Amino acid sequence: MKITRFFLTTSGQMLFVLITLVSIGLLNLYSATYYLGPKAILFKKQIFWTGLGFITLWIFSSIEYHKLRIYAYHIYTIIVLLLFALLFIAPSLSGTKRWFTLGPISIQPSELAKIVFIITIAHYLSETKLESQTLKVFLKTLILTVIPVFLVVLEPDLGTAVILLILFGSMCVLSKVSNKILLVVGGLALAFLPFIWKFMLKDYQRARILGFLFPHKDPLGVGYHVLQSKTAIGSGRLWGKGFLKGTQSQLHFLPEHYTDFVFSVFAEQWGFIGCVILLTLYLLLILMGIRIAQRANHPFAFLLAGGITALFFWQVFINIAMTLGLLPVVGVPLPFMSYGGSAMLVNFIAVGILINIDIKNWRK
Amino acid sequence: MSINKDCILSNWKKRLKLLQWLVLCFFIIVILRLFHLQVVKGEFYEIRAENNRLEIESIPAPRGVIYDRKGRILATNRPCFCLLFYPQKLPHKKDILESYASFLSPILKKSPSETMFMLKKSLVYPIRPIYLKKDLTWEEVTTLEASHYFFSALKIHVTPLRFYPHRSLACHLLGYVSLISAEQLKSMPEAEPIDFIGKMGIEKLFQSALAGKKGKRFLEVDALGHTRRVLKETLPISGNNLYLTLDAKLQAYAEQLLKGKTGVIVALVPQTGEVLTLASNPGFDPNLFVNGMDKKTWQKLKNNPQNPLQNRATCGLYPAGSILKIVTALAALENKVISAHTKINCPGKFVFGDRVFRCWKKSGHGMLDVKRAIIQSCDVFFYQLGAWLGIETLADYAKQCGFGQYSGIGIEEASGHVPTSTHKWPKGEALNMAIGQGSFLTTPLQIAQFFAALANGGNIYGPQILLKMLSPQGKIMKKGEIKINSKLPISTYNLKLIKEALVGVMNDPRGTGYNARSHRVVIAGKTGTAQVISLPQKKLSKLPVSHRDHAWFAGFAPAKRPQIVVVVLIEHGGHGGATAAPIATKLIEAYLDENN
Repeated sequence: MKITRFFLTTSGQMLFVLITLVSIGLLNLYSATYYLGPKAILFKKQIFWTGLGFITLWIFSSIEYHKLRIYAYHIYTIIVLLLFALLFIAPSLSGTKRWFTLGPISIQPSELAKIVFIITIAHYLSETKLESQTLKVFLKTLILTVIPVFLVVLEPDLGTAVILLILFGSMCVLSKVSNKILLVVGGLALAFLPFIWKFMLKDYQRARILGFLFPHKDPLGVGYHVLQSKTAIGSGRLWGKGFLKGTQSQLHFLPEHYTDFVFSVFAEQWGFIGCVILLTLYLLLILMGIRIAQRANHPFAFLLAGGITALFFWQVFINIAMTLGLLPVVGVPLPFMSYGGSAMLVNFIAVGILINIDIKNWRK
Repeated sequence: MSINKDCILSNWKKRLKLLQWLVLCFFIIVILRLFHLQVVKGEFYEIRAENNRLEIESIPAPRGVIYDRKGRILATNRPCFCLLFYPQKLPHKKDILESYASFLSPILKKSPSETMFMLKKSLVYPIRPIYLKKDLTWEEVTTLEASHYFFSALKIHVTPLRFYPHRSLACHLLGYVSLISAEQLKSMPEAEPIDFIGKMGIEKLFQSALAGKKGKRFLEVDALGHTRRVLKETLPISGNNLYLTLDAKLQAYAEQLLKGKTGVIVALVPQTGEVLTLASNPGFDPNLFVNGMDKKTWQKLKNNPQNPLQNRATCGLYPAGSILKIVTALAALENKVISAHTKINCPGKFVFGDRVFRCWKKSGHGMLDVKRAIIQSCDVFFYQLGAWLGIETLADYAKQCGFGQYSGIGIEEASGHVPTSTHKWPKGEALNMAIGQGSFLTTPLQIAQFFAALANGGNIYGPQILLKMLSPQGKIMKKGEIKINSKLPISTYNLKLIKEALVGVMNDPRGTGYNARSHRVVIAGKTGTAQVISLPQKKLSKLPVSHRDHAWFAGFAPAKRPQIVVVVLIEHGGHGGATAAPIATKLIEAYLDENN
């Protein structure tokens, strides 16, 4: 009885959506990696992370979330130090320094930074007790943002940097930074774009963006990923090729097919119908997040729920739009679908916090 | 505080609606895009995905073997490890290109920069694979195989390559195969850029029969070009085997006799028109075209003033010289301008209008009938016939004897030239033509065809080179057919008369070919000496021997029951009776020794 009632609540439904998404994600990862032989271990690892995820979900949904406020700056400091340390001690994997390796598992601090960042910003903005944020508050928030963004860019992990900046923007909007400031900063950012293009981006990042803009110019070069991804998705047609029947993804035509391009693997096998169902699940998750934020009874809870929802939304949108050739290729994982332990944990933590907030809401 | 908090919250939450609308908008955009890719353009991408994963590799079919009439191999195949380069599989990255270049340069025995240049050139036509090297050694094969994973644009093919074991033997008749040209590629939809096709001779004539059918291997490949598995395989079907009418031994002997000379030997079976020998010297090694030759060798071959690539037997055009006197005699006899007994005096010269035409024998031959005139090859006698007959009648008979038209042998040939009546010729032209000079031009094959007709009683057979065509399983696909082009315009009586005259040429002590007579067999024939001065070949005239005449001999043996017709032409060989006739005698003796 209690369980039935739980599933009628928002958090109950959210848990249901989550379990469905995770199951789809695991099946899809299996189809993307089973033929790889030694790499099939990725699937087993992901199962391990999922199990660990459910435990963290349980922890984060049952603790007093206000405790997060108390430790917000501490964990923020820790994550910044980790990101800093990463630049010096992490082994360079194909030119990037993103992981800490501890035996069989490796941790990606930039993924953890996403949730830590949301908690910290939510805490900072809710502490101001202002109806509309001032320029001073905005600039301080900006400093809190720029430090991790800068470190992540140095790794380099452009995807996470973009996500952090967008989260910053989203949370500024939610906490009512005045329109004037937003417009001026937006204008300044646009003005700085050429500068960023010239000095901040690496060659391959520039090439990716060029490849996005002109994919047919160099079909075997940078535009290759997008072209292959579009081919995989398009060839799924209405009903898909069926489970384990994808040819594009399994034959290496699709690069990064179990991380950033995992959606293409799914779309190839399940077609338009499957994609619509998957997108509906994501949409439900996001709308539920919005509903939880709507019901929040504290600015911190509101910003936290809003930030987490924004995190899910932007990751889903940027990732899928990228595979569809609507956005340039940046390394943003698809929540619950892409392979990656740290991202998995962060997503479970995020859902745990949402459920936590929801439970607190209806207990009152 | 609490009121303030609620106030703040309700204020902030207004912006949540904004986020919600944004979310809905973006989801709609994504779904529309998905609909466009998967439903609207789904079929397009499906085909593309299919092409991505399927690679069709063709398995070359062994080309049909060419044998001579007795089953001796003239052209066959040898297995060859070839290194192929598929530019489309090469990512356009400089460092990858460089790694290919440095890997390949020791194998190709070229410097890395040269190799780089070659690879870059091949990238211009990305879908066209190229042969980097043929005849890889075992060592090279193992090196390449071991590194195959890193260099997936390189592939080793075991290809049956054309091989001519006797090198230049019958090269003009057999022709050669070489890599298909870009133009031919366009006109042959089935062809691939790495195919070899017949470019000359038999190889060209029977290209489709010899080529066979390529097999196909449907491979599933990944993006790196590595084969994952073979989906389907159809085996190649070998080409049909050809048995030619050629006698390889006789051909070899003929080529040996021509060694050091520029000339032609044609031998036919008079009763069928089968080609026994078709030798043209100088020749070339057709293997060069298969294996590829460097620029220097090609230039040497192409710019050789002797033109070794030309098949002189079918394409060489020459004045017929005294050989044509047979046609003149035939025309005069048939036209009843003369009879067998008509006698004409030869004082050594013939005055026609204000011109003086001289006989080759300055002292003259005295009174001659047609038979004696042929035997001694008297010019004056035939000047007189030419004057009586006129150019039109002469040309008409020449045509009826097969001159001035294609013989239909199938390989490259020239039609020759017979002065036509539509053209206004000077009066003297008839006299020139009567002794085989002037604008009349013939190929050695046409002479042989004509003499075969004299030998067999009047049938002009189209020369035949194919004895039979067998499928790889040994089934007869095609048999050589005897083809009568036309009949000689001659009565049996007159033909007998001419034959007697031809026997006399070789066996009468005053005959022009008497010194070359055979002691073992009665040969009938006619010698000829064609003036070069009127030759259009200007290049040759620069040579010191260029002013010498062409030596001709045409004949058959044994005279009573002819088994072989032989035509010998030696360019600038001087006198036909001295140069060409002995060669013909040797060849005839060799043939009859072998076959009796």
